[in-house]
Amino acid sequence: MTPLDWGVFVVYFFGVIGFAFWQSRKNVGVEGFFLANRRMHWAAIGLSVMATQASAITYIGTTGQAFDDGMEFIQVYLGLPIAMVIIAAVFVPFFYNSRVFTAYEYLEQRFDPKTRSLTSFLFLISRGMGAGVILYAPAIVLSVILGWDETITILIMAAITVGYTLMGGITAVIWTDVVQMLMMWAGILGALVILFAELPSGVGITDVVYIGGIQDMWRTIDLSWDPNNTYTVWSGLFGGLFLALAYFGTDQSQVQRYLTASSLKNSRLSLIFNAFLKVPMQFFILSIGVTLFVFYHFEQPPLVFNSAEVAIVQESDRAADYQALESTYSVLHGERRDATFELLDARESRSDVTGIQQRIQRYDAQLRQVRDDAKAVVSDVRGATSNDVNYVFPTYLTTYVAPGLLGLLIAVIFAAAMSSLDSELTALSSATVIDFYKRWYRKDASDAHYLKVSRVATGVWGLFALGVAMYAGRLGSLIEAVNQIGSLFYGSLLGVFLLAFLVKRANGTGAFVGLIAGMLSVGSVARFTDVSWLWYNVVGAVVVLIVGIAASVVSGPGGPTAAREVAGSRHDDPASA
Amino acid sequence: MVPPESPPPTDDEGPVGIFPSWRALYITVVIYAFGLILLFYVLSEALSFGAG
Repeated sequence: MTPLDWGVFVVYFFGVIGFAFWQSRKNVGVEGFFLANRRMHWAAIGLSVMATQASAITYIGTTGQAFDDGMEFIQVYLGLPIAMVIIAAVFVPFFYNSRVFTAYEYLEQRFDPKTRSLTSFLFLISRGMGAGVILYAPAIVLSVILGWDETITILIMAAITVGYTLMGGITAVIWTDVVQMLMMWAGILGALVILFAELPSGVGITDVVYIGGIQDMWRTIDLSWDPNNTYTVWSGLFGGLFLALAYFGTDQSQVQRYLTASSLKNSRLSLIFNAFLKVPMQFFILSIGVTLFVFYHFEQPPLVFNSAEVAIVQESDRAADYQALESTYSVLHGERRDATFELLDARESRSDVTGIQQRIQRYDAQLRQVRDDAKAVVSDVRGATSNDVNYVFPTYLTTYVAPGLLGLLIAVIFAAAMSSLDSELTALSSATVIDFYKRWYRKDASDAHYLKVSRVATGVWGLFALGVAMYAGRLGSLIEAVNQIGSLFYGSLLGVFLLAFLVKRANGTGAFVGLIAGMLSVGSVARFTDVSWLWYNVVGAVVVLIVGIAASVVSGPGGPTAAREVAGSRHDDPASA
Repeated sequence: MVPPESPPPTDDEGPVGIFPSWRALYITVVIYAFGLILLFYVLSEALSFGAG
């Protein structure tokens, strides 16, 4: 990066941190720290909801995935708008009106303490790991750009983010998310504009669409019914619907956001806002990846984008193999580039293009094979799966983007990471303090004491995320890794909440037994079948519902809920502030 | 506590911005979701230029 890039980067980075500290003055007590005293506007919450989900992984992993495989990943999000409607109409009134701090606190009101504790514990484990992956993603960028060791980069990122998060609280998190989400939209559109500007003279948007179309990279819909196929319209509509219901409807990092709303209406509107904007946002992000794919028809890309791994291979006894693959790749790329120019000329002169298209498709298949072989060499030398897909976009930025703009785009990636990580840390902290510390250990301490403990918990979770981040590089594509971790638990958690909201006869025993059965089912499906991870949430939720209802019927009334109904009393949760 | 047997109070009545009711807003979102799928399907077919 040039001094100008560093200037832009530092100004933006420290500007946001300063803003977070400035906002932290509004924190008053635990309710201020975790729920902004329930006075946020829906638009701010809506942008924060989007920013929380759209991490740096979204930029890095998704663009790389589109570069390799095209636009089909967008199908994961097809069920999201419908999920937002269901959550706004069904889930939010229960959460908002029960005045809880965490989603799991509601489950004690509805069922019993053990169900609350188990679901909160599962959240802590899965999102703690997720926070580690979120931390790892921007560290990759710095390691590529600065040539720093990833471990050092992760340590620095963790220290800065955890530091301002434990001072800022949810108010600071939401308002910095607003700024960072706007920056992210600017960054997405800016990256596309820059990419088009970098294309050879005479190559325009229609050519990009056409060349991408030859390889079917713009295909977004796959109608096949194969459950082993990860990305289909059905897995997106049903699996994606359940994933979105579980994530936005039961994950504390999202529920905490709309609990900060000043009214039930504001709470609901923040989700509807997301329903309209999320899919277009993903479409534009994936478009960057496909446009990169076309861009590299004219410019030769590295055979393997992770330069650190390439350096290791070149020092190993497989160096000759790698060099041979690199030579083949270079020759094939040159032939594909020439064929691509030939194709555009033929198209302009309205000549027959079928033969040229077939040549390009053949070159492309060969290039993919050579790249796969090279990644296999890297994996062999490194002793771990190569995650090269995550290096595609950062490498492009550092190689081609003009000074100043590079610093801004790197800052946007950091903004994305920070806006997700800070949200995860406040959610993890709230679940730890409200669902465990205050519920089981210190029920009657002062507000100041809980605020202090909340800050300590934020720091401890930062350390946990740091530990996970050290191993995240071995998880393959980051975007899938985060979703896969969540999918092992999410569906079952969703099933418990659906039992709570929709099934009158469900009791605590049914919910607890159903939850255990759901997780065992998901684990079995993951272990013994090739069914795509997107279906795990459907399996988990359905099993919890069926087993939970059956167990509730068998165990009969008399659980905590039924007992309180008989008494006709309002349940005063001792953990509620 | 708000037990599920007695649905929690909501703000379902009245207009929501330009929408006459929450129900109208929800239906609009669902139509939007399926409209996106249709749009993506059309784009998938229209932007496939491969030579088979």
